[in-house]
Formats: sequence, C-alpha cells, structure tokens
Amino acid sequence: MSEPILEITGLSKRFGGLLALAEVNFSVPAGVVKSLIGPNGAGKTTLFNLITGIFPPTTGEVSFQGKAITGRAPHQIARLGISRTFQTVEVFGEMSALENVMVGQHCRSQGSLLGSGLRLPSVRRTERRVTKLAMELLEFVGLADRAGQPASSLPLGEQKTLEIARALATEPGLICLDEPAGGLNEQETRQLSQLIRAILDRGVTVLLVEHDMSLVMSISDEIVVLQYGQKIAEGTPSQIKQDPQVIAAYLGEDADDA
Amino acid sequence: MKNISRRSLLIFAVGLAVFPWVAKMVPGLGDYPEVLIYAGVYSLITLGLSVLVGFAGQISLGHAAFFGIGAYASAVGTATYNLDPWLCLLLGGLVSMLVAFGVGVPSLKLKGHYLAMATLAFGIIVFIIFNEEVTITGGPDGLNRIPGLSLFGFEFNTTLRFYYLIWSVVLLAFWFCANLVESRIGRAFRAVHASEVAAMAMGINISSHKVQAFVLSAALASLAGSLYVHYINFINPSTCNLFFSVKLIIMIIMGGAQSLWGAVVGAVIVTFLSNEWLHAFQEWEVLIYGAVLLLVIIFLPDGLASLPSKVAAWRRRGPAGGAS
Repeated sequence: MSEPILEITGLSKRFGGLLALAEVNFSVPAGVVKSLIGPNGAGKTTLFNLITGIFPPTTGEVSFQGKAITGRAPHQIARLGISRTFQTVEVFGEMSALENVMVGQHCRSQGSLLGSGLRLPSVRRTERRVTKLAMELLEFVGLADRAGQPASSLPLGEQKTLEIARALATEPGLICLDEPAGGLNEQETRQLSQLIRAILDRGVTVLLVEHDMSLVMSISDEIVVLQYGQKIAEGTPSQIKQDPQVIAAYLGEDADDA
Repeated sequence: MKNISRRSLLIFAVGLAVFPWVAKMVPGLGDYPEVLIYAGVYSLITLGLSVLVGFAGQISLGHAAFFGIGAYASAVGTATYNLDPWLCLLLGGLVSMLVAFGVGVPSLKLKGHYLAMATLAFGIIVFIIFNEEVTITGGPDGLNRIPGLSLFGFEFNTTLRFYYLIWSVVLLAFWFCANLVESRIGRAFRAVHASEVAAMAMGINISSHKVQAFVLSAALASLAGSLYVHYINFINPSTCNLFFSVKLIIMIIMGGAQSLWGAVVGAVIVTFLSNEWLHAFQEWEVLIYGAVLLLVIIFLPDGLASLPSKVAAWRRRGPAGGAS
C-alpha cells in the first residue's frame, strides 16, 4: 500500500455526557476508496465533522499528507485539500448549478472585494477560468444541461451529484462523501458507483460513509466498521463480511466476546 | 454584471438624466427632483444593505450610525475645522469602516435575532454619543452652516446640480455592487447566506466575508451621510436615530432585499410615500404606510422589484389563473 494520505490517531469526541467517538485509529492510503460503515449513531458523521474541522476533537489527532490539521478551521482544511459532501444536501439553493460549482473554486482563486466590484481585468480573467472549470466538472458528473438552473429546482439525486462536483472544484486530495447513495434509486446508485471510480481516476482519494452495503462492498478497497463510537473492525470487504463482531453488530446476534 | 444587464442600467441612467426636465413641464411634479435627492441618498445606503442583508444574509439594525458617522465627520470637519469637504468625506468613510470592522468582528459571530439586537444596541450607543458630546457635535441642536460641495470650482449649489451629483454616485455604487454580487466574493456572500457549513467546507472564511460585507455597507452609508449634510447644510442626532435604521430595512424589504434594483426601488418608494404622497392623509399617514408595507410583504414577498417578473408569469398563465 502507498503512503497514507489521512491518519487518524486516538480520536475521541465527547458531547456532554455522550462519548460520540472513542479512541478511533485508522489511516487512509492514497488512491483508494475507504469506507466507514456502522449502525446509525455509530459516529460516522461525527468523524467526518472532526476531519473537516467543523468542531475540534476532545482528544486525538488528524493528519493529512503528513501535516497535523487538528484544530484548524474548516476553510483552512478545505484549502489544504480535504473536501466533502453532506448527508442532508447543503447545496446553495438559489444559486445556479454552475455557480454552486464555481463556489468550490473560491479557495483556488484570487480576487478582492474592491477588485471584484471594479471588475478589474485580472478578475475577469479569473472569472472566465473558473466558469470553464466549473462547466467541465458539471460535464464530468453529467449535469452539464442543468448549469443554468437554480440548485433547489434539481431532484434530490442531482443535488447530491452537484455537491460532488462542487467538492471536486476545490481540487481536493481527499473527498469525504457522506451517504451519497441515500435516497437514490438503483440506477442512480449504479451511476454513482461509476462516478466514484472516475473520481479515483482523477487521483482523488475517497472516504465514504454509506449504508448501501452492496455499493460499499463492491467499491471499497478497505472498510472501517464503527459501533457506539468505537472501531470494531477494519479490513478488506471480504474480511469484513466474515467478521463475527460485524455480523453481530448488523444482525444483532450475540457475539461471543460482546 | 450578467443578471443585471448593462442595458437596463443605461436606460435607468438616461431616465434619471431627463427626469428633471420632464418634471419641470408636467404640473405637480415640480418637487420630485428634490425628493429624488433624498431617495438617492437613501439608495446609496440601501444598496450596501442589500449586499449585507439580501446577499450575505446578515441583518443590521444600526446602519443609521454609519450614516451619522459620515454626516458628523463631514459636518464637524468642514463647519468647525474648515477642512476640505472631500477629505472629510474620505475620513468619515475611513472611520466608519474601522468602526464597522471593530463592531463587525465580534457581533457577526451572532446569528438572527442576536445579531439584530447587537447592531441595534450599537446604533443606540452611537446616537447617544451624537446627543451627549455637545462640544463636538452640538448636542441635540446639531450643527449648521455646513458648506456645500464643489468640484474644480463647480459648485453643487442648486437642486438640479445636486440631483445629478447624488444620482451619479448612486449609479457608480450600483455598478460596483452589481459587479460584486456576480463575482467570486459575491458568490461567497450568497453561499454563506445559503449554508454556512457548506460554505466553510468549500474553503470560504465565513467570518471574514461577513465582516467584508458589513464594512462595505458601512462605507456606503457613511458616504451617503457625508453627501447628505452638504446638501441640507445641517445635521442633528435625530436624523440618525433608531427609526431611521428601521426605515432603511423597510426600504429594502419593500423593494426586495435580494435584488439591487429592489434597494433603489424601495428607497425611492418609501421616500416618496413619507415625503410626498402621504402628506394628504395627515395623521393617517403612518397607518397607510403600514398597510402598504403589509400588502407588499403578503403579496410580493420578494419585494416590488419582483413585480415585473410576477406580472409576466401571470400573463403566461392566462387570465383564468390570473388572481391566484
């Protein structure tokens, strides 16, 4: 395996009396799809929020490309190269699909308030470049014909895809997808799985939280299983399928050591 | 500038340029250019507020304070210290921007009602300072004998001249804001408005952008204040009281906060309602004022500026579905 792009060490998060995440360790090698699975409330989204800096961990460290990023602000982490989508869609509803993707380029482009208001030549050049790139990304995810429509007018599946295009516009090294297949039909899920492979081909590592097991098992290189905030298993899909603790967690059987 | 076409702005500019000549010929419109000077002053403020409230999604109930800072900077600087009016205008703008930065950094961490309360309190504090610092501001009596403006020997000493000055400045501000909202920074403002968590994840420093929108709106309000005192040659604290802050918000809501046209339309309509059209109703004025606002909010939640597109939509649906 190649060098890890993301390393999680001893990561815990306490919300008042609730230990949402307890001493979780794992790493994500560059260029793979790594999935996080686990029952509802296992701490998957909490983990995403810690990685992307939405809130700081109680203890532990996150490092990205060998750099400690714990405690940095979300916009700094995005700039370093971690992007994400959201479990409940967070598109910018009144902005067009194209503008949504253009927002993703914010951290990769320049242009001050004064320069933008005066429409300086440099601002116009940047605007042309960003528009072109955003259009290419919409084509990449298959939403080119939606470019001018307000994001809120798109069906849920397309809003989720739009979030992926927007996240890719930040030119990330790692993209965190939070339940991208949630609410999608079978055909849309198949397209999503192709899209995830295409994202890998662009050289972007994928960290996936997903409940759709057939998608997870078919696409993941490695899987981490969380339950009640703790890592109970880690391995390849075939290892995970046979893990007694995982089977117990999902099917509710009494595992020997539970 | 894509959504707001250059053509409509040009038509608007030409309309403004010929209006005083039309008003001269049509009976009953003689006062209108003068009322439009006030509307222009308010438009400058509402343009900035529209960027802050409508686009960046942050409320302010204290913008009368920035208008006041600009107005008093110009008044004190020119009437008391005999400084150059343009220098005072710049200094006032600078002070307003610094104050906006100082107030904005902590208070823009707040949301919704709390931000409204914080900016409201700020406005009241500044009002009290204008009222109590008698040696500088003249206290409740205010300052008078503020000189007019001139540029390269050309004096803006008639209604017509000032009308053209103020609306030229408004058009420039409009052009600036229209460029801004269609730019990287403007998109970041709208993104912060729509979803802070997604904006952050896209690498937008949300507090920095909120503060930038706040400082810009303060600068425009300050500019409006400076120009205003050079027109009426007088300022007192009640000009920049809490009600004025509220009135500015009423203007952008009536016009439509999410549109720069709405900012101008709202400022013009509210100014004409309170300075001109409702005088005949005497004590009923406030009631009718409220009724108009209520009707707009109920039937045109996107403001009067959305009326043309609404009418077009009604037409398309045909007369059968006309009322709904």
